[in-house]
This record gives sequence, structure tokens and C-alpha cells, in this order.
Amino acid sequence: MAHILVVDDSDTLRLELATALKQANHVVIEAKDGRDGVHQCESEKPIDLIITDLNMPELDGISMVKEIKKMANRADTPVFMLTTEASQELRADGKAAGVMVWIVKPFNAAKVLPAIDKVVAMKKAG
Amino acid sequence: MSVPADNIAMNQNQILQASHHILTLMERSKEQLERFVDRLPSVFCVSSAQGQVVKGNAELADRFGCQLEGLLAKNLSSLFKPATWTLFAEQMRGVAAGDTSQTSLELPLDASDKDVKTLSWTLRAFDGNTSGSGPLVTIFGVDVSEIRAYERQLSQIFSTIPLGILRVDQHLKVVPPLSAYVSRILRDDHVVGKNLKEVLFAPGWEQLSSLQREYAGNLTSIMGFPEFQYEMIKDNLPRLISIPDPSQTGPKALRWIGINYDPIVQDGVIDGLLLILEDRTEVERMRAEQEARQLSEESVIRRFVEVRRLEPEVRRMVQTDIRAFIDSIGQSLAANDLAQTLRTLHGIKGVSRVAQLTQLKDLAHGAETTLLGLAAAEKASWRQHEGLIAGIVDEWNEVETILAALNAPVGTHKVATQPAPGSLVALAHMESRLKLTVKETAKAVSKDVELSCKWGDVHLPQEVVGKLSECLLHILNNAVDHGLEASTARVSAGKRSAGRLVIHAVRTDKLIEIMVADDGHGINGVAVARSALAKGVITQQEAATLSLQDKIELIFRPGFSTRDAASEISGRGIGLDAVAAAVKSLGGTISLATELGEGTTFTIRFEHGSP
Repeated sequence: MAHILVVDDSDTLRLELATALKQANHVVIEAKDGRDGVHQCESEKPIDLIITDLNMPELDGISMVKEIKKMANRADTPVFMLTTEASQELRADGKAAGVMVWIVKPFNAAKVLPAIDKVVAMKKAG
Repeated sequence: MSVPADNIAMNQNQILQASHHILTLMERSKEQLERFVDRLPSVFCVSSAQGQVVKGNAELADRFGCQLEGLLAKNLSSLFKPATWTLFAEQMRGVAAGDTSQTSLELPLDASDKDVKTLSWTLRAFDGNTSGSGPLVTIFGVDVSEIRAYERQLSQIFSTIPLGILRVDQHLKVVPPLSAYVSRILRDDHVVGKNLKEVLFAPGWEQLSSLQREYAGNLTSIMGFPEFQYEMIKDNLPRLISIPDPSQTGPKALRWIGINYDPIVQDGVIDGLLLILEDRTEVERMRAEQEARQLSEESVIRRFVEVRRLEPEVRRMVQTDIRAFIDSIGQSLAANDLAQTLRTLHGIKGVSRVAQLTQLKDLAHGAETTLLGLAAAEKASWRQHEGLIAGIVDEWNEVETILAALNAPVGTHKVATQPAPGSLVALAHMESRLKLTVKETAKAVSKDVELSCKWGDVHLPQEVVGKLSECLLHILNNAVDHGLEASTARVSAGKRSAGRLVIHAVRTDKLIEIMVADDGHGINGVAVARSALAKGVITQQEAATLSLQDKIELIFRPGFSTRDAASEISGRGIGLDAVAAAVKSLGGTISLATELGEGTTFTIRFEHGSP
């Protein structure tokens, strides 16, 4: 049971993700673009994991991750990146920015949920 | 504070005892150490740079074949062949001189040829008190001969498994070891050091779908990410790729390779991949063959269903007309007549469309389109497309086979639509087929034609009706093709623009008459006679004796034909002479009456008692 921040400008995708996560008993916080995502992180709410899209208005996914990583209390938060493009540079950029894992769209709950559990458990173990 | 003298004495005693104790412990531990070293299954030795043994363990003594005490007299050189010793000594000198602090190498103890063991040697400069005997070297030697033997065996097993096993590092560069089969699968003996993309994906890059190309890209993207990144992405990796084989042509030119992956993980992060390659060419080929077989089976079923559901008149039309068309195509091919071939293909297409025989229609359409589409320059070599026509003939043969099977009475089962031979059949049964054909013919010559039939409830034996319908068909086609004028000509002649054909069958006490009338331009006896003369059907003398009616009836003579141009729909090699002969064989007669500008009527007469 984790607190997960979902950042995506597509309402449909956000809804799909949020539903899947809630069904797995996670608490979901939603943000509709990078700027919004940063705001959520600036608040005090608990966030165990961030799942974010790449292409978003206002602030794109990678830039958002860079900003979040600067925050003292959020620097360790694991980030999952949703990608469609095959371009390796984006994934490499994401990795450089601090993204832990990338997921191809459409996201496959059967694969992502176990990974979430694993990552959250790892983080709790310290 | 002063210490009593006794205490001092006591302390000194204790100190002495303690020192003694320590010394004993040290001695004991030194003994233990030496015992330990002695019992090492490895060779342990301290020697001079020239190989003179200063200290050694029991294993070393064994090698020399002497006792421990005798080691001091030994030199390491006697354990090796001269060539081997040179290498060893070189390393010793380097270590003793301080060039390197430690070096390792593998060399066999091969002084004698039997019982040669390969050892992995580690040489280190001795860092203890050498007491003036010059620089010393510590030597450890571990027997690796068994390990190497196992490795060789494994490699042999490896190379007999028909799987290509290879590893790539985080840059997708192929690193050793790899199984021998890899070079067989990839047809490349020098895969090591090359990039996986170059070796595996580049050869068949053109054939790869964009999805597969994206999958290939995923391979690079997982490097450096945590272990479960692989879990997320493992379904999005290329699993089956094709590589063109330059040594083969045709269907064999493409080889299929199945790929399985395993991530190589270091410190929780993916830093390489294990790939297992499998030659799937045969499997893929069989799968493609099976698919083709299935498609062909489906077409067999469809063909059967389509033929089966043909109505009897349509079935008869199909049988006669298309057979005739096929024969005609054979002739036009032999005569290298592209125009005629095209017309016949068009005819086949028409009949199959009416009969809803889709495969035949599609084949005819395809052939027609291809031939029509030939540019002027290509027309001369149109025969190279003969294969298309062969396909049509094959399809027709299949249809005919089914038709024959359906027509033949099987045991007591008679196909319900066929009346028993000898039984009487209403002439009216011919109507739909006649109308269909007239429609097609009219369309082909761009005329507007109406056919009306009055059968008068006349019945004739089934065999007669069959032949009769052929005759009527021919007469009708003739009328449409030649007898009737084009719409414009008709209108200017004051006729209705649509040509009118009438079939009238009548039965009286004495006879049965079937009349086929058209309201076309009639038959010009004089022109007929002239043509017959020109064709040598009659002689000049004979021509002089003929009445007008005789001249008109010259069209029933064999060899006579008004068709000179090859634009005949009714021309299938059957002249009116054949019609006359057929009617005669049925026991009837055929005559005609004509009026120029008004039309022509053919009359077929059967006296009672005949047929």
C-alpha cells in the first residue's frame, strides 16, 4: 500500500493508471502536467513513488524529475517513466535525471504492479 | 608510593613467564603455519631469482620426488622443459628485480612427458628477511589441469548443442565465450567484438517491421537500469527475426532466427545480456506452407459450394459456354491472337460473374486486366503471361470435375434437378439460359435486345431439348450479332431502338414447330451467293441455277461464314451448318424466311413420331 504520484496530461491515461493502482490498494495522487507534479511534491503529503509521462505541457517529465530530485525530502523518491518512443536518448536522459525504470505504453498492470511493490519494499528497507 | 621489593621480583617473574609464553605461542603458530603451508595442495616455494629453492612445502617435494629435507639442493628449472623454464625464469627475474610486484601465468610442469599437469602460477617478491642471499621470490602454484579438462569437455558439449549462445556487454558488444553454433547460425566466424545490432539486426533490417525495430532499440535502453527493468520490458524485445542468406535464392533466401534473452545483472543493475539463438527457418517455412494449404482448402470448399448451388439452366450454360471459351482460348493462343484472347477472357468473366463462380471470375478478370494493361511496346510479348491463362484453365478443370460429379447419377441417387433420360421436358426450361446468353451477347456487341418466348407448353425428350437449346442459342447469338442493326440504324429505319427476338413454339396434331424470329435487317440472298462464290462454296454454274431462297439458304452450307473479321461472339467454330446437322440428327428440319429490312425467322420442325 503505497502513495503514488501519477503525472500525465492525458486524462484517460491518468484515469486508467489511477484505477489500476487503486485496485491494488495504493493511494493515488494525480497531477496533470510537470508543473502540477512539482507542486504536489512541494507539499508535505507522503509520496513513495512517482509515475510520470514524458511529453507534457508546462513542464516535461524529465525536467520535472530534475526539479524534484533537488528537493531534500523527495530526492530519494523512485521515479517510473512512461515512454512510447523507442529513442534511446530519452531513456538515457531519464536515467541521467534520476529515473529508475521506464515503462512502455500502454502500461501493463501485470508487469508494473509487482515492480512497484518491489521498489516500495526496497525503499522501506532503506 | 613505594612498591614492596617482593612485588617487583614477582612482576619480573611474571614478565619473564609472559615473554616465555608469548615466545611459545609464536613458535607454535609458526609451526602451525608451516604445517598449514606444508599441507597445501598447491605448490608453495620461496626461491632465488635463478630458481634455487630456499623453502618449499611437501607438495613441492613430491614434484621433485624427494623428501622435504632435500629441497634445499633443488632448482626449479629441473621441473620444466627448457622452453617452459625460459618463460618461467623470465617472470621470476621481473618480479625479483622489482619490475612488477606480482605476476601470474599458466605453465605446465612438463619435465617429463608423462603426468604433465598445468598449474596456474602466482609469483610475488619475497618481503621478508632475505639475510643477504639476494632477492627472493614467493611462488604459489595451483593445479588447474582438471579445470581445464572440464572446460574443454564443456566446450565440446557446447558446440554440439544446436543453439547459439552468446553474451553481450552493456554496449551490446559481443564478448566471449560463445558457443560454436553462433557462427553457424549467423554465417559469421568473427562475431566477437562486433555490435549485436550489426551482427543480428542489420542484415535483415529492411524486412523488420517498425515494431521490431523499436524492440531492437529496447535492448540498448535496458542497460544500466535495475534488474526489474528487464521484467517490464521483456515482452518488447525482438524474438523472431529474419536474415537474408546471400548464398540462397528464392524462398530459401530468408532464414529465421528465434532469440531468447536473459539479463546479466551486476550489483542489482543490468550490465549485459545472454542471448540464445535458435534456427527457426524450418519451423517458419512449415508454418507458411500450412497457411498456404489452409487457404487452398478454403478455396476448394468455396468452389464446391458455388458450383453446387448453380441452378440447372445456369449450370448447363456454364458447362457449354465456358468449355467453348476455353477451347477458343487455346486456339487464339496458338494463333498468337491477343485481341481474340481478350474477348474470350471477357466472355469467361461474364459467364462466371452471372454464375457467381468467384474464383474463375477473379482469375479471368485478373488476366484480362493484365493483358489490357500492356503498353503498346509490351504487346508483342504478351504470351509471357500465358501462366495467367493456365491458371484459368486449371480452375475451370476443377469446376468441370465438380460439375461432372454432380451430373452423374450416383447409385440410386439421381441429382434431383436432372430429369431421367427419355422423359419429356418442357421447352420452357431453356428460357432462362437463352435469356442470359442473349443478354451477355447483346452487351458484348453494345446492342439493346429483348427476347420474349412463347413455349406453348410444348414438351420434348430431355436429350432433344439439350441439343435444341444449343441450336437456338446459336441462332439467337447470330441474330444479335449480325441480324439486328445497331440502335441508331434501327431508329433511322423507323424501328424501335431495342432489337426484338421472339421464340415461338407450337404443337399441332401433325408437328411441332419452333420459330426464332428477329426484326433486324434480314438476309440478302444476293450478297450471300456472292460471298459463297468467293469462298468457293459454290461454283459459278451452280450460282446461276439458284433461286433467291436457295441463295439465302446457302448460309446453312458448311464452309460458309459471313464472319471474316475476328469480332465474332457467335463465332465459336460452329456455323449454321452445324445447327442444320444437329437438327437433322434429331429428326427435324430447319428452314428460314427473311425479308430485307424487316427481319428473319428460323423455323425448326419436327414431324410427330420423330424425335
